[in-house]
Amino acid sequence: MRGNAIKLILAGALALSMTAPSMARKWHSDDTAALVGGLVIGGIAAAAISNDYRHRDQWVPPPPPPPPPYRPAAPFRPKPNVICYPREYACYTNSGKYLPQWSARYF
Amino acid sequence: MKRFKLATLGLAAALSAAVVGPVAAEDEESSFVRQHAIELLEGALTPEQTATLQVLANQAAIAAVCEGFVLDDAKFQSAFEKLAPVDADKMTDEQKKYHDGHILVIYGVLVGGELAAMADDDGEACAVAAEAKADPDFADDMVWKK
Repeated sequence: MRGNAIKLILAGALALSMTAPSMARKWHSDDTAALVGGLVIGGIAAAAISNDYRHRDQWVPPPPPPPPPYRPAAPFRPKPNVICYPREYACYTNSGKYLPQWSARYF
Repeated sequence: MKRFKLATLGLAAALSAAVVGPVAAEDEESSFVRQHAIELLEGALTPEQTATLQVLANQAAIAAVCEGFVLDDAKFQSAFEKLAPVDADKMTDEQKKYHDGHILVIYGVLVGGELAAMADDDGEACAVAAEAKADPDFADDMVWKK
């Protein structure tokens, strides 16, 4: 935003320098070189000042790493004949029957 | 080199069998449906709510299959209300309606899974349910009539 304002000011100054003094004398090739040089230097200055510009060697903090993939906890046995599976939020008997009371207690 | 690879594969297979060993305790049919139902929830419920939904589905299936188990409508309704979205205050009425419908569909899937698991042998499931009914620690989560 500030860069744009500076560019506008530079353009205005250049325009003024082209109109008012040029009325007094003829346009020379030196004037063209000065104009081109001024535009190039002005452009570089505007770009350097601009907030959007980022130096090639400027350190940019890396983006945060992605969260690790979800891994449910390992199955556990609250009692020898009960096994609970966190990935299912469920507990079973050793023979595989669902245990509502243990599931409600542990999940 | 080939022998080394084979030995490594054999060791890996043995290790995975040792780790997977206790998994054999889960009922394959019930577990298959349960895992898919949880996936279909797409995170609509918290882990605790997910467990509650499954406990409710199990009790409904038991009431349908086993003698001596009848659902208590008031308890059931009260338990189902616990499945309301945790961020309900940030949701529109339409989003809340979608949540309720979504949960009901998954509830149906889970009841179906429970019934399928009991299809071959409901005797043990009913015996396990009788134990749950007698467990005083389960009283707050039980939606059967006493």
